[in-house]
Parts: sequence; C-alpha cells; structure tokens
Amino acid sequence: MSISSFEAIHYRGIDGLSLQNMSRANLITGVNGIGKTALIEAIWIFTGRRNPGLLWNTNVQRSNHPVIDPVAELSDSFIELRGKENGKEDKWKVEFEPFEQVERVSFDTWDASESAQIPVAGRLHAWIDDNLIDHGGQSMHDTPRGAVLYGMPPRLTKKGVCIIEGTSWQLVTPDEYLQRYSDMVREGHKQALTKAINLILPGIKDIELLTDKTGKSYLSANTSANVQLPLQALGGGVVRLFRLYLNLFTARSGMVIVDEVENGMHYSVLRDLWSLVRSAIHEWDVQFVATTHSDECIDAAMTAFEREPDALSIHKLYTDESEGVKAITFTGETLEGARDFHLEVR
Amino acid sequence: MPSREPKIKIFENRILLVEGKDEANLFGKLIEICLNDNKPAIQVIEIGGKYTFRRNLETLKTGALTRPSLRSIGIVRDADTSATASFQSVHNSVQQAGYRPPSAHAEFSDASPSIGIFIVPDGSEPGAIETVCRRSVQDEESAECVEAYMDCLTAHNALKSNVPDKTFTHAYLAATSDPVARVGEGALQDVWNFQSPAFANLREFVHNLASR
Repeated sequence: MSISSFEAIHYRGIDGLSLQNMSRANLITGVNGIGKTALIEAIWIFTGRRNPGLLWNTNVQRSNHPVIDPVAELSDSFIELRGKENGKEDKWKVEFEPFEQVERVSFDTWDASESAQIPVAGRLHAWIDDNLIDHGGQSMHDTPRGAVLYGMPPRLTKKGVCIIEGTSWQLVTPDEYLQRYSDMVREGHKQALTKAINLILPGIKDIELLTDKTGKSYLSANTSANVQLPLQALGGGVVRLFRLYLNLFTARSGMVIVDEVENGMHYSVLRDLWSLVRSAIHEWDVQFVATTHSDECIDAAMTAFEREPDALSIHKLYTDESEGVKAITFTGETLEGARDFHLEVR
Repeated sequence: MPSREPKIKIFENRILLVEGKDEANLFGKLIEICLNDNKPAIQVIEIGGKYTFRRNLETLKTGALTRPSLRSIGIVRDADTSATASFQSVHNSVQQAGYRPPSAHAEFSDASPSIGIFIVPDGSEPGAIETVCRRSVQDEESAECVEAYMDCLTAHNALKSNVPDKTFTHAYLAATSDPVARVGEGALQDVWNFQSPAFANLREFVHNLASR
C-alpha cells in the first residue's frame, strides 16, 4: 500500500485539507486543535474504504459509547475523502440513511441455512468514484436502536492492513497484540523484538507469553537478573514501543498510523526509535504516518532519513484565513534545507 | 544529540537573508540603526552559503506559504572575486526557487513577495562586507595604524592573505577595547561607522526593503 496524496474533502472540520507528496514515512505537525488527529483518522478510514463499518471504530469515534449514525458524529450529512493509492485515485463518499421506524429485515445467518429477522435502524451508503459499494455482500453493525446495514464486498482482497494507534492507548496489552506477538514469534522475529525493546530498556533478555492463575494469557519480560515482569510493569514507553514494532510487522505491505508518536519516549531514545522505523518500513514495505509535537522527534526523524530525504515528508498544518486548514510539505531537498538552516516545521 | 538552537520561524513580513551568524549580527545592527519606530521591522534569517542557497531558499519559500502577508525578501551576498558572477548566481537561484528576481543589483522585483539582491560592496567591484567595514572607518586614527601595519607586512613580503580587507578588519578589531575576531561581533560593539558614506548604499537597500 502506498498513498501518495490525500484530501479530506468533507470531514470533521478539516474540509479541503490535502496532503501532497506523501512519502514512505510521514510526520504531521501543527498546533493543538488544528486537525492532526482528524487527518490521520480520515487517512485510516480511506485505506479501509471498502469496509464502511470502520466508521464505528472507537479510534474514529473517539468514544466507546454506542453510536447509531457514525457519519453524524464525524461530519454533518456526509463524509467525502479522496486519495491516490498505488497510483490510482479514488474518491470515497458515505451517507447515513436513518429509517424512520425500525424495520425488520431478513438477514442470512452464518451458515446460510436459514435467515433471521433483524431489527434495522438504518443503512450506510458508500460510493467509490460514484459507484455504490454493494457487491452482493452485506454487513451490519449493531446499535441500541437496531442494526445498521452497509454494503461490503464478500471478500476484501486488498493487500496489507492499516493499523492506527491513537493517544488513548491502554497500558494493558489487548488480545490482538498477543496474537500479533505470536505471529511474530512463529515467523522468527522474536529476537528482533527483544532487541527493539532493549533500545529503551536495556537488560531485557526475552519476552514470553505466559498464563496467569486465572488462565488469562499475558506478555512477560525476562530481565537480565532473571526476574519475570509483566510487560506493562516496565512502563508506558516499553509498551508503546512493543506495540509499535508489532504493528509495523503486522502491517506488512500496509500502513501504520500513530498519533503523537513520541509519547512515553525519553528524547534520548528517539533517534533509535526512528532508525527502527526506517528499517522496518523498508524491510516490511510499510507506509508510516505519525503526528508529533516534539522538536526532538522531528530532529530524530530527519537524522534517521538523512541519507534518503525523499523517503520522509513532514507535513505542517496551518490555518489560512480564507481557505481554512492547509498543509505545507517538506521532503527531499526542502527537508534537507529545513534541517540545514533550522527552520521550524511544527 | 539534536541541536538545541532555537528553530527559525518567519514572524515578519520583510526578511533579509544573509549567509551566517556573523552577517546576521552585522546586518541586524545596521537595520537597528537604519530604521526608526515608524518603519516596519525586518527579520534577519541566516540562509547558509552559496552552495546550499537555492535549496534553502526553496525551503524558505515552502515555509513562507504559511505567511501570505510576506511582502519582501532582501538577499545580501559578497561579490568575492566577481560581482557580476555573484549577482547572476543569486538571480538564478531565486528564479529556480520560483520567485521573481530583480533585474539588477540593489533593485527589487515587482512581485509578491518582492525580491531584492545586494552584492557587497557595491554591485560592481570585487570584495565583501569587510571591504565596506574597512571603508567606514578609514578616517579613524587607528585605521591609519592598521594600514601602516599592513604596509609593513607587504614590505617584508609577509602579507600572505588574499583578502586584505579581512586582514584589515581583523587587525582593526584586535585593537578595540574588547577585541573580537569577526566583523559581526564588532558591529555589536559599535566598532563600524554605519552612518559613513561607505554604508550609504546598504542603508538605502534596507530602507527599500522596509518600504515594500
């Protein structure tokens, strides 16, 4: 997956905001409240545009409260995004159609041997380039008022996943990360993961999957003093790095998006962090997008990509009096120039 | 460790681009003397040397997109051995960066932002800012001593420097109450006479930059 340009035509107050010259690695900067998080949410939604169900994701809704109309939470009556992925430009639009009264709709059960009557509160309509997404597959999302139906291809064939990590990540490692860790171990990358953890916390010999007395699995770190500690006991920075590395691995040929990538990291480890990101995006063919407020993080990224400035873009968001939120991009020579004469890019 | 120098932000609508810290010190002082409270402020930015000038100017242009009110950019460059070649080099870089350059030294283009180029000392002779500084103090008694020192060096075939103006300014600065090494540092100590006719063309350039 490679997105070279993106535009939030109509989304969460960043209408018209476009990123040009997206690179392998992208950093998004700008003052608080300008729309950095909204932008990365929109990019994430766009990468999964054949699955409109993503609109209910908590990272997008920024809430765990049940939502009936996901569009209304993110915009007014519709959402429209445009991007160029792998050289092909797509325009994506979605609208919510509420049913005035809950209808009962036949829905095939899993084994298709029978259908069930499901209360339906509405329908989500999505188009790619004005073509309705309805390839014969139909999905639904449960809400307190009933299901909301939306069309989806029977099988998503897109190569590469897109993983987004928001700022409200939790210290506890959810089960999906246990699965990702297991996949990584099976493919022989366990040592690399341990080495990555040692960047910010030297003395970790091994990471293992253990079971507690209730039978619940958890990740544990074995230290050089042969002490076993739950991963989260090592601190937020370690957990954050652990999740980032797993995400990069899992998103092979896809994309990883991280909000405030420097959170939990001491400035002294940021160069190593970015070296790790650079290696991973090349080895695993991942496109990386992150937001940051940190000068040290930007410096570290510029240093990591010093020899390949075309592979890093820094997109600075700003407010234009007449045109709203816009972006300027430093990449290649302009990135080298910004580094050379210390131009502020936040 | 990353550099802890404060990063450059564009905060004025008029910018003067100079090569480095020493030039920034000198021109900052010149601007302070030239402009009174009625004139808008000029921000001095160290853009780097000639080998990275075009690239850095393009970077500045990208950064300046966040400031649509930017009205004028002045560029100062030493002539060194050829004022014509220096002007042409800056002119080409300005064009390649996507700005409209002026047609001649000390002029400003009719564009937004308006671009002005000044080749030190005067757009036609070889030399550098040290040339102007030397001329500005030529009537001082200590200048007479320094000239005598340089004549003595020449007579003994001991003046090896290819840039006699630089030799002069270094020697002149060495005799001040708080000796410093560089002309910009000297400017901060009010060593150079910015009201001298030697600085007249530069003063006019600064005034023109401020009035665009």
